[in-house]
Amino acid sequence: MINEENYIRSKMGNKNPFTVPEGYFEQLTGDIMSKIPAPAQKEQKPAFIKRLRPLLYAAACVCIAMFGVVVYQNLDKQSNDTLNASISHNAAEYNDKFIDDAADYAMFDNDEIYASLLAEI
Amino acid sequence: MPEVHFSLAYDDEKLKSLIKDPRTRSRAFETIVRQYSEQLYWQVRRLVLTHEDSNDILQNAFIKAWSSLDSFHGDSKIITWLSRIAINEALDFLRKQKNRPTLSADDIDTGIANQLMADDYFNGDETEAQLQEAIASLPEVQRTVFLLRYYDDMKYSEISKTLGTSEGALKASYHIAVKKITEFFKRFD
Repeated sequence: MINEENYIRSKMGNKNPFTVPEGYFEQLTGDIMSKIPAPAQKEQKPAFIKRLRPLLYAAACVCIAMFGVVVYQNLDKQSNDTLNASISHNAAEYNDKFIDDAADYAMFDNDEIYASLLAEI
Repeated sequence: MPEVHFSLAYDDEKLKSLIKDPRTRSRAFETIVRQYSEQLYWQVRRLVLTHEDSNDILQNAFIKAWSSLDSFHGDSKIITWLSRIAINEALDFLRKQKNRPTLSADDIDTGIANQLMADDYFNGDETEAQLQEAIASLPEVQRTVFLLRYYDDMKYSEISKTLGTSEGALKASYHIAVKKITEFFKRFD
């Protein structure tokens, strides 16, 4: 086969009989690249902190809400205590006044009230 | 975008890593085009013979290469991968043409040799035109392996990766191609 190859080479060599238009290879790269589609812009993944931001906002809202609930409950308790205290005081005052008025109406004096209470025992 | 200096001739491994990075892919591909387009053009031209067809096939081949960059895993040389695409494009073109001349001295007057002699972009004499006709008459694998061995001095291992044919089959095809072309010329001696 080497002899046959040598025979062909002796006939033809490696001469290139084909030609191209002038400047063809100089502009070939530009021609090819102009036909290449532009790469699609992939959506860039946002930075970690940016992805976390909505969660942080939600957590902050929950904390504020919880704080508000706790404060409200504390205030409510305080006002209830105050109200209860005032009601008890008023009730006690009212009871005492009622008994005094009743005693006055019945024209009982204190000795007679004591005597009646002892009798019940 | 990272600072990368794209020089005219780039190491194969470096180019492979640059095309994998989306930020440098386009510039790296342009470097590949600049570096290999001429070599690929001549591989295609020797198969299809005319400049216009070769230009179209080459551009289609690079567009295909760009589209299939993600499937190129770097397990072969870039030129081997590109050759496979370009030569398959050329062979597809020739199959569609379905106009192969027979290897006969009687067909010289109407054959490829005459068409080449009339082609503005063919500089050879009549003997060279006849050689091209003899080569164009070969079956597909014989023709391709002969051209890649004879003109590009490509190793059988590279041709095997390009054509997806075993080295043994390629060696046999090349041997047969050489014999046929030798016999064709001896008819004119």
